[in-house]
Amino acid sequence: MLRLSRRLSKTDSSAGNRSIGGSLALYWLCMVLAMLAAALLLLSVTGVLSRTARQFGETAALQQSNTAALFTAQMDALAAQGIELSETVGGELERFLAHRGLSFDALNDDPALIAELESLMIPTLETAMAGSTCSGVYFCLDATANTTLPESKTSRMGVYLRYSSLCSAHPSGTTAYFRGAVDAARENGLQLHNRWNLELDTSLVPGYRQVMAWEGERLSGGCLWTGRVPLLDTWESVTLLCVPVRDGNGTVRGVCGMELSELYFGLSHSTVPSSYGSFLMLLAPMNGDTLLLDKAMLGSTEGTDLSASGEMRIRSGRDYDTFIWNDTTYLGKYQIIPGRLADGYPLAAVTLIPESGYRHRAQTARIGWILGSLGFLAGMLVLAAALSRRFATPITQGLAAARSQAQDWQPTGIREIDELTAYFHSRLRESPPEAALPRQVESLVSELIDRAKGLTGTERVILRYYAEGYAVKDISGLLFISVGTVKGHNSHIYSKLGVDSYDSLKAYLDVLRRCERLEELLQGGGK
Amino acid sequence: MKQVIKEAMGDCSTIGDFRFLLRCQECGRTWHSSPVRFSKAGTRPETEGMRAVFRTLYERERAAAREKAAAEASEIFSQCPVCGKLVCDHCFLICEDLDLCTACAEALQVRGDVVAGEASSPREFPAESAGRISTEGDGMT
Repeated sequence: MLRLSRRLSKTDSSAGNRSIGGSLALYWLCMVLAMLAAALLLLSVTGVLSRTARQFGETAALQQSNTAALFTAQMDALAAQGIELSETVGGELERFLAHRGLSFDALNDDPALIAELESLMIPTLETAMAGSTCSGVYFCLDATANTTLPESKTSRMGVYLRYSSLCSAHPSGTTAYFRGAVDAARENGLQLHNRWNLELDTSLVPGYRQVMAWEGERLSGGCLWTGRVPLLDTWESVTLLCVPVRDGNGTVRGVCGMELSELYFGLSHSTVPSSYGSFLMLLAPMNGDTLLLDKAMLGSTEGTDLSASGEMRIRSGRDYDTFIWNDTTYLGKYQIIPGRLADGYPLAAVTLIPESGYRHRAQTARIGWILGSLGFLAGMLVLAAALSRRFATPITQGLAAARSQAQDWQPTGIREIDELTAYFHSRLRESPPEAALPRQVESLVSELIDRAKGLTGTERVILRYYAEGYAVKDISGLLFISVGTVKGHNSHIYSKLGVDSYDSLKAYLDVLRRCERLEELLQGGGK
Repeated sequence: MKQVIKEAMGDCSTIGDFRFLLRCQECGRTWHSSPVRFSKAGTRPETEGMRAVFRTLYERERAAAREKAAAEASEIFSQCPVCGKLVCDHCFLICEDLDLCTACAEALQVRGDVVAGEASSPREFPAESAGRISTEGDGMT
């Protein structure tokens, strides 16, 4: 009793221990988290969670707005500077002619006068060039040094200054004298371009005739941009801003403007790195859903094989647009920006990246999600297994303690199991040490064992054979006696044990076997 | 036990029936087994080959009949553990410690109940209804 009370008190003191309910709740929490991790894994595999498309769309839209703002600001600034140059050139022309009392037509067939005028204009052009974000500046007037030449209809006087040896986004380097009279260059200390020519070939300037035919009040209305055109006798391509030059009467006498060379544009618009790869910037005329790359200006295309040739088809999407060029796919955004092109196409600012960069990023993001979910799932399953083990082991120990009748069982730490074990042990102490048979069966068995004391040795041998399952004929053969003799012994056994038939005898033997008292009977009543 | 009986049994079979006998070595009475009919009894073999076949069949059926007769005999014959005689139930006693034949029981002065006695054996032995025991001194064949 003392030990029991100590055990129960130990159980009471362990009330602060964990309970089955708490352990189960923890286990189920782990399982719920594991299911959540499995759901996360499923969503990760399907790519729902990574949301790469939407994120890329947002990034591309942001970059696109930057690109459009950059292009618009640059074009607006150049247009303003071109207008200012036009007004300066127009004013200089007016003063030059008025001072000499000449008309504009007097410039034709007078190379000396042209050279004098061009020499006068060069400082103005140099100032405009230094103050602009461009790679060159020019002006040309509707006059030529020799009207008798076959190409005199397209050859026009003027000065074209360009930077040579451009190597950075900020226009700098040596100013080369690309077009104009040699005397004017000499007077201003300018070095001739290695592809120098006396006059400008206006047939190569797509907007020249449109500008010359322009009639309007505000110069801004007459500004035009050409598409990208090849620069005569060089390997370079340029885009030219064309601004009308008017005399004092408002008559358009020529064109001036700035040049954006392909090299300068590429240097000044380098790629923008992002997590999806480097964004490229394009300024391209747009014909329907096609970008005309033949006339487009490309920013830096470093790391890609994109070149300014052919056409690029646009396929609009929900989050971003797809651009297909020569079986290569690019992803990004585009936007129409203000600006007149000589051939009438709208001008689009485009921001794009190669699809491979996006796919790589999307795959990386998906793999990251999958690995994260897998790790989480594995962690939860391991935790659930550990909890299950920690939970199950005390239960099995408790059950073993409950089964055993040992008094010195150790508490499992689980309150309910310890209470159950203590209860079992208390019941075991209260119950008799051996399981008792029902009273009627007990008396019957005892009576049978008493009667068996009267059996002879041969009868006891025969009874043992019956208990072992032998039949009468078997016993006859085993004992070398006739079946009749066996049956004679049977009748004696029946009468001595008070049994009326062979079946009853077998039933009694079975009962005694179950009560584990058969041997007592076969040994003649003594243990 | 069966082997002992088979070796002690005599054969009194004819060309049409198989029959065996066993003599009680105490009282001399003879027990005959139930007759078993030869399956080809009454059929005359016409060729030498058939005769050979019949002969083989006869031997097989006689061996089977001997087995059956031994089983029948074991119903009513016991072997005395002292003298080893094969005795019928009329000459075998159920004793207190060890069952004996009447001669040994008398010699050892042990009392017992005859197995085939009226008082101790209220039920009829099936072997006795199948075969019969006669007091005639049949010779062993």
